[in-house]
Amino acid sequence: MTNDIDSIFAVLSGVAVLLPLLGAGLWFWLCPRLGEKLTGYAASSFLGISFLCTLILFFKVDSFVQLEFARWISVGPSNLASFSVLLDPLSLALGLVVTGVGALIHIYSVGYMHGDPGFGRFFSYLNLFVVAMLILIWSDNLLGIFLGWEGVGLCSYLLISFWNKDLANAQAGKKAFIVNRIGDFGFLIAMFCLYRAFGTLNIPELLVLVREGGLADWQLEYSLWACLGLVLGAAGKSAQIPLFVWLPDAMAGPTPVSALIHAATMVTAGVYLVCRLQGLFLLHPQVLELVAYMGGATAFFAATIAIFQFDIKKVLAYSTISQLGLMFLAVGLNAPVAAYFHLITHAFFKALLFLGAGSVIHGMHHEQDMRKMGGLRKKMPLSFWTMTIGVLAIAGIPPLSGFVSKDEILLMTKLADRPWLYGLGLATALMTAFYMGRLWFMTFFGRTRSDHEVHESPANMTAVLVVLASLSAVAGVINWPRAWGGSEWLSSYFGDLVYQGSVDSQVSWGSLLMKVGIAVAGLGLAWWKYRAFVGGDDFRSSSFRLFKGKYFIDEIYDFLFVRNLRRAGELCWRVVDQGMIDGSLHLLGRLANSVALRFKRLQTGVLQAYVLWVWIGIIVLLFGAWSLGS
Amino acid sequence: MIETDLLAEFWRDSQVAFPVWSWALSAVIILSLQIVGVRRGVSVGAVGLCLLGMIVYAIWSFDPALNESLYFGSVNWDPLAQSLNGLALVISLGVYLMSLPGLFSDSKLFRLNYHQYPEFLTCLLLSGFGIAVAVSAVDLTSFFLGFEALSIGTYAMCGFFRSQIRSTEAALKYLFVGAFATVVFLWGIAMLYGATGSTGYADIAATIAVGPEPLVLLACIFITAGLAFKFALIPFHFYAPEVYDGAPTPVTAFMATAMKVAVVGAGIRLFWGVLGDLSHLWLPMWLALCVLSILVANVWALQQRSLKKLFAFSSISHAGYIGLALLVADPSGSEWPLFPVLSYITIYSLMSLGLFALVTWMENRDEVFLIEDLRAYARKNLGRSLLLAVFIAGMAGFPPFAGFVIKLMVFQALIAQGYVGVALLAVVGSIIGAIYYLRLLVSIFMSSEESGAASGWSGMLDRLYSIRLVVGLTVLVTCIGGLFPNVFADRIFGVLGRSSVNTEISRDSSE
Amino acid sequence: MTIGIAHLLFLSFGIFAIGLCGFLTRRNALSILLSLELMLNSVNIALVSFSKLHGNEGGHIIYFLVITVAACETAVGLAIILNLFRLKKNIRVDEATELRV
Repeated sequence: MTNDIDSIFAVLSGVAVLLPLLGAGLWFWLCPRLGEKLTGYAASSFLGISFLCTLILFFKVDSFVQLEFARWISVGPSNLASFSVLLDPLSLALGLVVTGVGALIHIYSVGYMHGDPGFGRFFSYLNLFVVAMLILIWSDNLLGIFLGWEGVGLCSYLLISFWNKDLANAQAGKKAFIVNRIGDFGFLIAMFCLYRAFGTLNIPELLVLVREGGLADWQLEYSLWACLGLVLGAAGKSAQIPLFVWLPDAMAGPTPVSALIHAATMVTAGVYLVCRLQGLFLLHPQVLELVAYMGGATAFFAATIAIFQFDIKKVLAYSTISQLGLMFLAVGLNAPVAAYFHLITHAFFKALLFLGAGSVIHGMHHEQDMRKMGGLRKKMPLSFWTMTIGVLAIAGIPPLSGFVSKDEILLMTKLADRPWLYGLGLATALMTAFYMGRLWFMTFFGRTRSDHEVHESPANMTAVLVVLASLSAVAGVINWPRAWGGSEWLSSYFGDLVYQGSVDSQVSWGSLLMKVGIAVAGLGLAWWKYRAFVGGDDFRSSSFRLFKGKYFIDEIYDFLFVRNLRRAGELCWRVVDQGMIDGSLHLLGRLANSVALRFKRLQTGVLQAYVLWVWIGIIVLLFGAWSLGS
Repeated sequence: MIETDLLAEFWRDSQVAFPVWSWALSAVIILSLQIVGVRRGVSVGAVGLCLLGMIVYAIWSFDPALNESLYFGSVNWDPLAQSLNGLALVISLGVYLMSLPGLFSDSKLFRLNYHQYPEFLTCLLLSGFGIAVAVSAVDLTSFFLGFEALSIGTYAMCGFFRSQIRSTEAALKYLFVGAFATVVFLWGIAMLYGATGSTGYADIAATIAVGPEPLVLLACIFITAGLAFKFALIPFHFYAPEVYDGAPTPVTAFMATAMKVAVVGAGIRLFWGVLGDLSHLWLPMWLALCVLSILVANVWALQQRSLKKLFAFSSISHAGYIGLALLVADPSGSEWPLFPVLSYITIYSLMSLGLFALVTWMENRDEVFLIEDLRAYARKNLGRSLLLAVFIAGMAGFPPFAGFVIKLMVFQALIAQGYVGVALLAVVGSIIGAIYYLRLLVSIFMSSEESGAASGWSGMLDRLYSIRLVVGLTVLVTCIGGLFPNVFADRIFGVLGRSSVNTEISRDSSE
Repeated sequence: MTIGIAHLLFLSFGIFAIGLCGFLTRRNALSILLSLELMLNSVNIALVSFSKLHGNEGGHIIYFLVITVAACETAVGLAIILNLFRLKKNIRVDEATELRV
């Protein structure tokens, strides 16, 4: 009986992963034959089926299923890694988000990418991304996760530099890839350390070993380094300090990509990883502390930068970094449910915001500068109303989803008794409301500042916006606090899979009011400053230079690392590579070639010469044997 | 009374040894069909049916526990012989499928030469018979007979395109050099017989250690040299590049694979079964020849112009690796002595079968004969370029492909048996080899200018998809073997490697 | 004087040497084929004398096989030489170097 169910699960999860993989191979060359519409909707329907499979799994799997499809790497008697899935609340919840939001964004892309010469390629990459993401979240061993981790990195790179005719786009892709490599390095180190310490990369086995306790000192030491490495990896993938610099540049990709990869799914992989391995991190509370402070600082800094951006997608990018910071803050304070909750709601409303922005950009003929927008409320009513819901959600206006989830994180911060972090969180909330308001007013209100013929986006794009807007509005119910009459379904769904630090069901109307007040204040400030924005620079004072220059992080990195590395690389290239290696290789190559030429001259084409060689060979063998014998 | 006993034994043995003589039977059937005068297509189809039937029978009758001395101790039918015979069947079927489309070609060359196609296939079947005998022989007479049947059939096949001077010249060279190698083999046989006074392997093995020293030494040298010639180890390899180049490509594929299969079978029995006690005599020679082949052939290949000559050198260096694998098949040395050599020969054979099938395909579709012709080939045909890249990577032993796994097995076995220096040299050799493989890949995918095609035969269109079938299946093997080595290791060789096959057992049974 | 195994072996080596020299020096494909026969027969002498030495028939059996095989080889060889002559109008092996490139 269990076998039957297991095989059904295996089929479902297999279909969910393999169908997009098949698609990734197909759309590439089917697009010119099938035409855009058919290709796009077929790709979307593949993801839709994948979503349905995940949905069935979600309802049918109770608590925990581990399925092995094939062995991958066997080392001696033990199985180092296999192609297998681990289905539990953590992976299924994220799987639903990935396939669901993914399917919606596919549908949206059909409209957005209309007429692009790389239409088929785009959908191949998108499908491949979903495959890699599913591998990342469903794998039961770290090597599998790493496979997905690299896969999403690759797809992200390919999609950021999708319009690769433009050098800037290509360089943005390269930057994302290189910065991610630093994180991947941490991940690799972590895997080595874990394997050394525990002898397995299988996550359930690993967590059991950790939970049993009784670890030797050296094992603890290795696991400490592993945790640090994982944090570095997570920081790279989720764009946290110090590795957040790639995400704003990643906005060079098409907007649906930004929505799917750089807002809703891939960048949350770091949060997922830390939640998944929470048991390991609990061994080292100081690392979790580090994660919390890293998240808090990132949330704050990114928010300060977001205020000063004019590119509508850059604002959203920094906002994403900031929200991810909040998630890390929650994870670091042992509130993974809150982090996960925010992750899900954020996936909805940030995807909505990006797609809304994409709709605006599409309508404005690829104009991204907010100073050139304005007054779009009337011309793009559907985009406007859906965006409004998204803005209100992220700003934290009750009862929209963003309010509920952000409130839970702030509550956790407060309960964890970290006044500094709490302060950072509140400040971030205020700034979030402000810059989202700024975006909203600058884009949709005031008078029109562009001479483009603006048009509303086609129905398939706006339909997706509507779906996402309704999700962002109501997604708060999945973990509606008990104190307000909710059921906290997400907490009970996770059960004891993750460890919750401090739980308090007390409702404090005062702090609630304060948070709403902060949100309203932020929006109000924005209204006051931008209700009639006329263009030009809004923060003219030179004291804002630090913020406008994004703290000059890119420049500092350039000065500290990039330039020196390049110089060192150039030195290596000149001296070691060109001088020593190339020199010796050229020498060897020339030597080999000349020897080969000499050998070739032995091929005279006369068969008797060849017979003579056979005879010579025998004679040499004879002499050799004779000299060896005597 | 005695006669009836002998007859009964003969009859019983013939039932067991059906896979061996069914080769000859099929050849006779085809010849009879020709004599009766049926249409060419019928007899060609009959060959395919015969080969398929034999493969089915070989799989159905495969019995890892079977180890019988047949025909009064002249052949031994055991897992080694069964599996290598199966491999020879697969190779022959592949060669058959590769050459088949020429029958339907309109080009003058093919119309002219394919008149004799059934005879060509008869030669193929008889060569296969030679392999079956050679890999199961445990007597000098059957050993000699097997190799000669194999060689003479191949000589004839080399000259199949008799209107082509290149094909004829290849046949001439192969025949003369090969005949000289036959003499060398015969000297080895004569010396063995002279030293021990018997022709059965078991009897020789029992007495050779006390035989007269010079004769035994000469025997070792001649046998080693003869096997090295058939294997095309340096410096006995000179015929190989030219013959491989001149022969029709399906025949090239046959020579590059089937000959090695026969040598592996015969070599294991001769080296470890007969001369096992004298390994201090032949082992250094064989080792030196193999290492020399790996190192020198890879350098030698750098200056070749013809594609098939390049692959000939590649097969020479592969022969070196197979030779090393043969060397570590020491029955006393490890638990599964035959595992590396059998995996290597199987994967290598299938890979080069596919490679040469692809070369046939390219020769006829795109007139690719020289390495220059491959320049920017990826622009001309991406699919075939990718397939070629898979095979090249497999041959070079790049990681995700089967070629890597088998090389790794050989290196591991070498190190496990203490030949660390040899393993290092072999690794160096494969690194040198990577140079020209990579150069091929670069010229296929990265060079800009396209080249005009060279002259040569063409016009054999693969209307039957049979070449594509061979290429497709072998590509699958190359990829699956690399990604899931355990599939092959467990399912195919596990049984075989464990039943340590050598003449140890048959020696008991015949005594 | 009794003829022992050593004499016979020397004879066979001698014939082999003659055959080898012919094989390596002659230009005409037919002469090479003849030299080959000579070498094969030198082995036959060795085989038969070993057979006499050991007093069993193993050498003879191989001897018969060698004769048969030599005939086959010659047949195939003659066919190839004939074909070569048809294509090139000569049978000089030192001119058959088409495959050198």
